[in-house]
Amino acid sequence: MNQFTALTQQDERGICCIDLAGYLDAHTATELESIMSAAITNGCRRIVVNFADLEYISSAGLGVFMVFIESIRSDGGDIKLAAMKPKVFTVFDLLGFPVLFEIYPTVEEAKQAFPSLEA
Amino acid sequence: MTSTFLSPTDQQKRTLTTIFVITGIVLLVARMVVVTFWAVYGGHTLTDTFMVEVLLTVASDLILVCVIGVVFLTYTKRTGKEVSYEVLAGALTTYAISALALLLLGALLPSDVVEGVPTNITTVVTSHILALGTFIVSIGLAGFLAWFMQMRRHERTGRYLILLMIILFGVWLLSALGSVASVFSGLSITLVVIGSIVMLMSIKRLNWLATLTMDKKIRLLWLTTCAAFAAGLLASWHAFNGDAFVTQSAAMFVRSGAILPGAINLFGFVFFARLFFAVLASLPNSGIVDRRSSEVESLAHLTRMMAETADVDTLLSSVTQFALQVCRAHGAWCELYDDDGSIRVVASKNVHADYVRVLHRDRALHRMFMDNARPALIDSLPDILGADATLPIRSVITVPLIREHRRTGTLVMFSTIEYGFEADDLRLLTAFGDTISIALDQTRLMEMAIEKERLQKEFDVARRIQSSLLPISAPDIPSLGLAAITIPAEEIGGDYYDYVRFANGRPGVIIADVSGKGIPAALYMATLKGVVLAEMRSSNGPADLLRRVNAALMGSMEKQTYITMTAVDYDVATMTMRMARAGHTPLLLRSGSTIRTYTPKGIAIGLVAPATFDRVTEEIEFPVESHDIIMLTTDGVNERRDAALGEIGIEPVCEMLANIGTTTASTVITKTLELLHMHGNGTDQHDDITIVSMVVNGVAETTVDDERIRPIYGVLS
Repeated sequence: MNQFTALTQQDERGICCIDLAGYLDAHTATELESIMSAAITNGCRRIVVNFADLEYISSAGLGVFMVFIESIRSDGGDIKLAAMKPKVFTVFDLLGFPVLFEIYPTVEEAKQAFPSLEA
Repeated sequence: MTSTFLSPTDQQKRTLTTIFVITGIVLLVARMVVVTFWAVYGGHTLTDTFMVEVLLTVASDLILVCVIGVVFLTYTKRTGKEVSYEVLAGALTTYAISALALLLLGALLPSDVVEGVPTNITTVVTSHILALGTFIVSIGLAGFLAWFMQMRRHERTGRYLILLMIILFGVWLLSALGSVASVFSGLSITLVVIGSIVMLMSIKRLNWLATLTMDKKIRLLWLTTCAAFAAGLLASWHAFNGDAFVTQSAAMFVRSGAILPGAINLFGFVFFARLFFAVLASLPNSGIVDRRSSEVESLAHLTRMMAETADVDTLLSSVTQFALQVCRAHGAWCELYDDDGSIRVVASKNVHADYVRVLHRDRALHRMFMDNARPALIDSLPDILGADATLPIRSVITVPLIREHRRTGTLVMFSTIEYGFEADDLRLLTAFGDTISIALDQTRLMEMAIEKERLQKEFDVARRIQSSLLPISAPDIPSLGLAAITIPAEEIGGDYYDYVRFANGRPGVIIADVSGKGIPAALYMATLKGVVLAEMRSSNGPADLLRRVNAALMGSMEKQTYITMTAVDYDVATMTMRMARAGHTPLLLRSGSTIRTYTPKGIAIGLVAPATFDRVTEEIEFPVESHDIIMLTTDGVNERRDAALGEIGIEPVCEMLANIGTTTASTVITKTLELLHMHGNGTDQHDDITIVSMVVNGVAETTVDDERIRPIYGVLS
């Protein structure tokens, strides 16, 4: 079993990158929810979720991003998704998530997509 | 006749007893009359005429036979009875009282006997009464002794009893010969002594006395003392005090008869003395015995209580009450520790709320209450708390209550005197604590079982309701064979399919999947059904229906919940299908041997506002031909996992469809389920599975209704 892990790190521009790994399903979704909740409580409004090591995502896992997106966007922030494996992307794509979220091939591109604070 | 006499029925026993009693009384009266006329009025001695002497002796012997008969019958009636404290105490009391009363009578009654001859009628009567009393008491005692030895018999008891009877007979014989030569009297005394020794040897198995309680033993000591005193007095009077009226009366009644009551009472004395010492010897361990037996009784009582009580608070209340009695404590309470650290007193006896508060105010005591794993005893509370006149608690025992390996509470017992408890109390309560902990676990398990059963019943109802939300039969769609099935991963699920009819009259099929599983998903599924029913008649096509559903549900759903859904309609005349998809898995179309997947653009319901949703959702149209198979599934199909979490994917299903040829809608479902079953290989299904299959110009089918799997097949020409 690929253990689910999620690590948060903040760069100098104030962008939080959450690295996901393993299986994201109904059981691990609550874990991700509390991690994201903690990041937002700490002031993170610009979040990039790195899917590079995520093997699987279920419908419950997708729901987690829906919980926060509205409030973050109303605060002027965003959640951007990056580096999905084709299988994971298919799930997002089938659901129509690309309409809702910006999805980038790499974490770097996702970070670059945030406007600089000075600007 | 002999056998009836030896083992008569109760009725016969009563009759025999009555006969003996009446015969005895008649003979006694007759004898008194004879003695009165012969001795008092006639002035003869009782022995000067052989005929009279024989007459009187025969009468006496017959009376004795009657007494023996009554005693024998009385004791054979008791054979079933076990020797117990009550029986023994009753017999001792009866004997002691009647023997002492006899002695008292003998001392008080006027006697006027000159040279073995009663001189007036009063003396005749009183001497007869005394003689009869003597023999009744003695023979009764002999009967009791024999019965007691039989009840507590050992291997040689039978031989001892026969030996004793022979000795008694010998004593009588020798004593009668005593008038001939004094050597016989000496021999008779020797025999009595031997008989006493035999008696002493034959009393065994008195260990059961040790199990009596202290107060019963004390009472037995008193009773044996009285009985031994009476027996000793009777025996010695008969042996040495020939001038006593009692002895004279016995001698006038039966020649040389005085020796027999004397011997029997001596045996009785030996027995009572032996009993006295046995009881005395078992006195010191009485405390331990009492305690042990009350412990055993207590634990047994507790176990019964546990078995009968299902409710924790009731159980603790009875346990507290019970512990109070067992330890002679002055008060007790049971406190439970809630998860938030608060203390709840559930069962209290003679406790003021302040007691608990004061004890917990002291840090060390509080910790001891909360953390001790074993019962603890505080002999002197003032040593810890300092003298506090307002708090009557002086010594305390705490018993931890453990439930599912966690300290959940304490049973506290207190005494209002210092050193009010003994180490034994602590030991008993340790056993108590363990038993209570087991009981607590049991009640918890029982509560869980009841709760589980309740939930299971509710799930069953929910499952029935949910299956009633799914269509029972397919609508009348010409030239389209329909079959569908849904298999929830748990009792209820979030998958939904339905047959609809749009505003323009076209028939249609929808399939939907609520994110998540279980009750929340099922509630959304029911809501969705309502919305679909409300909106379909005003919808002019699949995309319109999805847009209306999204508009209706958006904002009333939880943020992380969404619904994927596909709607299809069918134009029978042109043989075309229209389809719209809200984030749902693709539609599969098998036409000839090619498989097409249709994935029109769309986003799941409940994610975005109608403006975006309506713009994104597109509707496509495609033609179908005869024998084409159209298949709609939820992701429970393509995500069916094996033991290694490998998903089956949609490819095997496509391959199956490509090779299936001309078939029916239900066969398509059966084959798909077979594939899933093979892939799953016994692992749990982790998501709801729903399949709707349509076959253009499909053949008629029969309905199948399986218990776990609930397929609903529609049949149309």
